[in-house]
Amino acid sequence: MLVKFNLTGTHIIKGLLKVRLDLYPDVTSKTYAQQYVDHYAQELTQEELDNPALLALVPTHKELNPCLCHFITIDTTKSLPDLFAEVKAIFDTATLMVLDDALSKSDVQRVSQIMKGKVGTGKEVKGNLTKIVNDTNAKLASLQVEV
Amino acid sequence: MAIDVGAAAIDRDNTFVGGYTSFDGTNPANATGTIDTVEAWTQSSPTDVTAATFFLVSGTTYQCRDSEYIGIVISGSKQTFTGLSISVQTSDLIGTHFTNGATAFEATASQPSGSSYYVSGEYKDAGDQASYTAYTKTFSLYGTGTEAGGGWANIAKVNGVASASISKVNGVAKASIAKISGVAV
Repeated sequence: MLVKFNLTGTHIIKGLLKVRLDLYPDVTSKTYAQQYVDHYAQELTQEELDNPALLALVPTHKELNPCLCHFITIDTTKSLPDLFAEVKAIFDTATLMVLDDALSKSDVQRVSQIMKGKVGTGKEVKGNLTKIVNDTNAKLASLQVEV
Repeated sequence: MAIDVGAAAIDRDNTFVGGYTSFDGTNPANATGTIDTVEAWTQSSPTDVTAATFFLVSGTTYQCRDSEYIGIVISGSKQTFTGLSISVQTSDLIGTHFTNGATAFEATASQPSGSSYYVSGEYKDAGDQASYTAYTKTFSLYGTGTEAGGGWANIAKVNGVASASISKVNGVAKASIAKISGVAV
């Protein structure tokens, strides 16, 4: 599977910097078929959103969605190799197996239990919070980790 | 006991558009604790989504108890968000805010009044209060997590020790334990 840093989710909450890890299933994963889905090929208008008949006329194409979007706290001083190692540890082989199974069965309580302890190692951040988020996103832009 | 709040995150045949703060009215939280997992199904990928809990103050006034920003919710399938920490108390309701009116959550229309509630604008931060309007749509947003005390959902005790008090079992950290004697925790 592949983990991509989704920069839209980066935020600071209760003094901690959180980043979003989007997990994309392999073609052999149980969740693949659920997440390889139709997307609208253009931005929808309000009229299309309000009218199912119009919406049905909007062209679509297939895209792979993430099967999980997981948030972890991170330390701003952590190096990229160390961060990648942390991501690999969160999504180790055993975790991926049980996670894929639970997600494919829509067993959300099980998913919650599996991921509950994997919340990262971030420490409290101080200073210009907007700059911290922007700097973090600049550091993580376009990065992905094979897990 | 697992927290259970909100409506099933499923593909529906109507939409619930952005520009509002809104919450589900069909399934209040069954316990007090922390929501760590949220499921959502959107129709057109809202980009600035916040998940939040709300409670009734009086009349039609509700207050946001806690919230967490999650970013884009990609459309077309159920999206599951983990690693969250949103405080919830028994009877709280789960809701959301996103700004783009041309994006939407999946929703079911023509439901009983009070299936959801909305107010125009942003009231998504803890302590924010507003007067909400009862609405007839149910939208796809669901939350779960752990009841305060930290016990397991299915196993109350191990070797006589309450699951809420356990940190390790046979040297394995509690967070890494999926099953005990074949029973899912």
